[in-house]
Amino acid sequence: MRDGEVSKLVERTKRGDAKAYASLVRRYQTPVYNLMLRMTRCSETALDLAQDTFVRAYERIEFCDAERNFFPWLYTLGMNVARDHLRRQKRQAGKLQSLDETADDSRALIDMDDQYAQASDRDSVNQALAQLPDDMREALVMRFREEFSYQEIADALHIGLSNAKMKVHRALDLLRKVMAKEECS
Amino acid sequence: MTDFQDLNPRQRETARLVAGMRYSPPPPDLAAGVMRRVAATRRRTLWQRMFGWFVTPQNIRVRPWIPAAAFAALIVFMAGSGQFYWRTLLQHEPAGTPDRGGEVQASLPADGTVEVAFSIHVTDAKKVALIGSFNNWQKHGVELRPSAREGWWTVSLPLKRGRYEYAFVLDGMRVVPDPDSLLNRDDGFGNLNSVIIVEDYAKRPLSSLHGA
Repeated sequence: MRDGEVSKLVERTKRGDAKAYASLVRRYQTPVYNLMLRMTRCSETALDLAQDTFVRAYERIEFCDAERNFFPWLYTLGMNVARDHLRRQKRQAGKLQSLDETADDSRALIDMDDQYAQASDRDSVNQALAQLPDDMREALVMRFREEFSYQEIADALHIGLSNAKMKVHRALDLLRKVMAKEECS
Repeated sequence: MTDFQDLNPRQRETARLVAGMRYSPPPPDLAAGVMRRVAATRRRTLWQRMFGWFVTPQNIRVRPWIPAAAFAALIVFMAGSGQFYWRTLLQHEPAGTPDRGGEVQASLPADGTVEVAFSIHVTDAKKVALIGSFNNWQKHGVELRPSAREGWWTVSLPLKRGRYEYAFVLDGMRVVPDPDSLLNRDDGFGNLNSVIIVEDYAKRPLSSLHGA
């Protein structure tokens, strides 16, 4: 889908055309779902968070600048949704740790369906990416998989432009080291 | 297409691997689930959505120096305003300055006296003085000063409660009564003196200053 077509769908969504938004959802559901999968490593949670992202984007569609690309804006929203979820999870994990009856639940979290891990086993790049810090991994995905500009990456990660460039370069070097280690083992 | 030119050869190789990474397919009901929730959102009115936004916890990211600078500016502004307020409150306003035409005006009493302003409109004199029973009719009297209003001369005197007679002396020679005085008295020598009665200012209206 070309940028011009996406802009038209965004404009129609702003005017209340739900079908136009449905087209946008279908177009971008795969990268958004995979973002959540990488961040949470749980397919059920990734589904919920992906849906939350699209609903939030719909509610805030007026704030999507016509000049700005829709997808980087959507991706930034998704990153925020994922971060909020991880923060809440961390707080709850802190509360649950002291309770004996939740010890089994903690183990269950690790053992549950990890579609991302399964996919990683088949794909060495995904496996290596999974070992990177979240922001470095996403910087690489945004730059080379989704072809974002450095400014769009900076906006999504809430960092400066030069910081974004540095992050991408460092992430590439780190990924290369991780992959080299994987090959040796 | 992403530009790999800013990368060295090893980085380029790694970047191409990332560009070719596989995505997992999303669950089939993802889009349908989104549109069901969107339909429910659309049924809410704008006011309901706004209210929902206000009551939902929001994440706000702020650089700490911004609220700190705003707070410091507020403190400086309040300190400055406070000083201005107190200076204005404590400022003593000059009493008895004529404004619309009353020739005698009084201000708030202090230590039992009332500040009374005397004014006269004179254009053909270079010096104007005030003489009266309050200064024993001293020949030179109290000198009036030219007022901001053209042609007007004025002076303020603290007077205790009582009845006073007065007149103006022009250029040290001509003695004239207050042309706007409501009460005058012949002094028995062919001169007309103006009369002023200074009473409890707080209880009587200003116009009574000229009354008997």
